[in-house]
Amino acid sequence: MITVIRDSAGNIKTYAEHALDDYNFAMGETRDTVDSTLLDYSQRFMLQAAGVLGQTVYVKQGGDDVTVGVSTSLRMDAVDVDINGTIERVPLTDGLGEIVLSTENIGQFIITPADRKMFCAAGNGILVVEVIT
Amino acid sequence: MTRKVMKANGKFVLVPTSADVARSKGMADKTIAEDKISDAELPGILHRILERLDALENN
Repeated sequence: MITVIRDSAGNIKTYAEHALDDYNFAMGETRDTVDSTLLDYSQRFMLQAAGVLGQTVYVKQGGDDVTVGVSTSLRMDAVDVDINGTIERVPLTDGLGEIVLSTENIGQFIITPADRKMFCAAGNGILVVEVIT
Repeated sequence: MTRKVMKANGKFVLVPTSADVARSKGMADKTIAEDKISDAELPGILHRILERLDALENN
């Protein structure tokens, strides 16, 4: 059983494979449960680049483009992804899709699920790609 | 601060700030400043210096 903590807006804040009875709730936070395992739940939405999940990926400016893999274990034809506040609908084939990032300019790409009520933007659900000189 | 992105040719590109653009011309500006700066070049160089100062103050 998975316990899901949601913020006051209903967005998934975190989850765990136990009851979280000792969790210290902030104002408006709620808790619900899902019949799943931690592994299955963590695979609802995943982002990866160069085989890396849940960590910052550093790439050189002017280098190869970065392909970010987007995947979900849910049956969906497409999933909306937030890239620095821009929402992109990513088509999925067998739960897999991708977006391509240019390394032309320095800075950070922060990629998360656009629907934070359905998917958790933490752990494997967030990816930072930093273009450095 | 999160950078804006735009999509071009199927790729997402970070939109450079005015300070980034000014910084990218920093080396060229230094080279120009080693000699007498022309009246045509001066406003551009001053503008880029001010853009970079603004970015420093706002960080």
